[in-house]
Amino acid sequence: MVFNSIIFFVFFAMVLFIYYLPLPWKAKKTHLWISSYLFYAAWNPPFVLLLWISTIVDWFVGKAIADSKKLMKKRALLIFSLSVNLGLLAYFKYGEFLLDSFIVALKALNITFHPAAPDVVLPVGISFYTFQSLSYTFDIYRGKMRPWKSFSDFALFVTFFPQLVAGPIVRAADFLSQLKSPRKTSADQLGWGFCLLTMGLFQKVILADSLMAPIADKVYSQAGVAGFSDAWIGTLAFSGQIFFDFSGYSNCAIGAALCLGFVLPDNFRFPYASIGFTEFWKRWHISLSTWLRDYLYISLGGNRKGKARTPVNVMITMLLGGLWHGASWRFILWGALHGIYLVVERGLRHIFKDANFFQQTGMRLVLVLITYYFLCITWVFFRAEDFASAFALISTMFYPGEGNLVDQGEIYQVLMISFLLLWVHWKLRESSLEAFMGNLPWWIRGVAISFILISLALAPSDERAFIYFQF
Amino acid sequence: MNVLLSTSNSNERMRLRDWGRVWLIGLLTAAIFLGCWEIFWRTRGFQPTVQDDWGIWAKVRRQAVSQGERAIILAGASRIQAGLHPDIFEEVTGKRPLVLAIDGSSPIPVLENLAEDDRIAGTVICSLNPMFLGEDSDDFGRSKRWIRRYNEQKWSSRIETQLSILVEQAFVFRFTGLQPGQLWENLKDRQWPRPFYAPMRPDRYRTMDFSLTDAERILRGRIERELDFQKSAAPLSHERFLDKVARIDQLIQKIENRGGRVMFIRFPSTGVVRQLEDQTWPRKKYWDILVTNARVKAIHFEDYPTLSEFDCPDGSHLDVRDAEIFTRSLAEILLEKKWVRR
Repeated sequence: MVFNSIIFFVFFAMVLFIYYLPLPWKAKKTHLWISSYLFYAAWNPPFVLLLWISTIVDWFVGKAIADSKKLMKKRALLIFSLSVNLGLLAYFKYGEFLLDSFIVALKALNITFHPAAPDVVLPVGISFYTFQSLSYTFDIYRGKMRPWKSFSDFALFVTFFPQLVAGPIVRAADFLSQLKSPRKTSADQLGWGFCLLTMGLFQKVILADSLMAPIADKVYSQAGVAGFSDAWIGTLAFSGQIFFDFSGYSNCAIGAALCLGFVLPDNFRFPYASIGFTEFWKRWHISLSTWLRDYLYISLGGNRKGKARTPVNVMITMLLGGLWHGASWRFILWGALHGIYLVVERGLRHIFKDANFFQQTGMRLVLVLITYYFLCITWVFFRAEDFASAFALISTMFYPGEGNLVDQGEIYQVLMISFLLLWVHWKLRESSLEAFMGNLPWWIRGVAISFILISLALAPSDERAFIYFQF
Repeated sequence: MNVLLSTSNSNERMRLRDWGRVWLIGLLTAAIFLGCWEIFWRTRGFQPTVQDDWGIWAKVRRQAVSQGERAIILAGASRIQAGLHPDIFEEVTGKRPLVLAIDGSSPIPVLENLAEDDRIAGTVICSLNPMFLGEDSDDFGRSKRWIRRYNEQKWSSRIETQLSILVEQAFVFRFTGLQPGQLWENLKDRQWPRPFYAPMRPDRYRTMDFSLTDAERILRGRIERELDFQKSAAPLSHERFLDKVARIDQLIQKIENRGGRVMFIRFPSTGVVRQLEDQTWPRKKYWDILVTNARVKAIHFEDYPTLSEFDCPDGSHLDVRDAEIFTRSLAEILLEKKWVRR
């Protein structure tokens, strides 16, 4: 069940209706819990079992870690939780990739190996809920929280439907604390929640799917014959598409949760106005980057193990971050490039730490554009269908020449939307969507909502799934 | 809301006020605009139409299973989808056909899918355009993709299809030809949108009313498409053609062995389109061999005066008024031959 479907609206209306009946808080939570399983079962009912495995394992492991006095036992329990969760991920998400890579490695050694082709379906959202569930075990292991007393609360934390399949990845302490007492939703919360939901749908259905995706698809499906302008326009289109798609999903999730009275963490803060990659990762997919920082980078030692070890930790984190996105060497290279950018940037920041001219507005804008330029180049590996296509497009991007895949109208369309996107991110980089909306007169907000509703009503039906569902 | 998240500024959100009147003006303006938009197009002759997609196809496909031996299944492309009127067919034979034809697509993958499914034991009426006997023609169109998705369809997708049908039947503005992108294209060509001449009903039957369209423009477009098709579907060598016929024969036998029936119908084509088809796919070289070798019950429109008296406005499809007469004649022939029983 995706947010941009009629069935979701019927489902959500029913959930809200029952939720706002005068029922005890426990009954409301049970209702959300059951609804969340129903939401997930809409994709593939048997995969609900995987949700149960993650939930049950981390619930009992969390308790056992807290009860255990010995560090070795705590560590063994944590490893058990990691093995189960990451084992599920490894099997369902990376099984085929690992097997293929193994075959290639054997081939390099002149050994031919023909195993039966695995036929594994990727359970939607597995990368998100396993990480979310794991954060609970980690936090108990580190003594940051005590085991939660109610199993049904914990199960709702793992399965809460607004963010179940594509985040934001919520921390246990942040969510479980909201289950202690009944959520009281004011009319304004409900209004802003619905506003976020419709804005998210507008980002997904109109901006990502209708305006950007067709052009990106056209170029990336014919990468071998793309010219200079094709390659750049296709890449700018994808750069816009992936932002609108994922940030749109996050807004829908945050909005839907807010309609139920729950607060979820922000996942995006105008990332294309980042000055450098350190800042980019503080603005892009924030719930994942903070997860990787807190549970992987810091576990590796972070920057506390000396100057030589820090870049290694950054690279490991970013390589695994790339792999998290998909079982492909392209995602690993994408992560590696981001790791290299972060390491180089760290060096440059050290060299230029006293340079005041970087604080000037013009210079900051130049740095934003340079960051965006490198981001776009790196997105090529993320979007391309294979390495050959990626390298063909990248080499084309450095040799000006004619292109004939995209027409004049499409070029203007992508350039205009990309310009507006960058301009909005630049203008709001020190602010927030909430603050921006708060400054608008009520009637302008009303007109904007009517425009969004009309656009959605007239938009073509498209079965395009959210990009991050595949992760 | 007093929740403060470690990675969120969500708590800031409650600065916003006035959402009651914001939503009131938003919903009211949207409802008034969309209401006027709907009335505007309806007064210009537009009618709601259901958009064809794999979900609706899958819905009809399931009916083909549930109806068992009673099912009359139509396979093929747009010629049978628009040329065999289910209401008239039901009136004559007492049986309502299920339209599994997919426009612009080869019927062979659908036939294969029906043959592989042991639950299919009804009567399959398959319209076969000669070009679908060409090289790689099984990959034409959407048949294979839709069949794959049918096999993977989940319960939520079934409900989504039902809801989409309800919405599309209710609102003219959901018609693809009236969506902003298409209107913009029309504006660029300085053309005013015309009512869609081939709307689809929820049972997947298309009524093609050529009086609503510029028939000459449609004919020109059809000829161009036909030429493209012919380029992409190179005729098979005799040996490969016989292999293909043998494969079709196997499929037919599979269905007939479990009590079903399969018949092939060559729907009318006229004018330049027919000339092009006859040049590349002469009847003697293809259709006649198929009928003999595949041991198939077959009807070629040329062999029946009541089926060959029509002029296809675009060379390839029957107008809705002719489709009614054609269906009546075809249904009577099928009853007479006892290939379909009341």
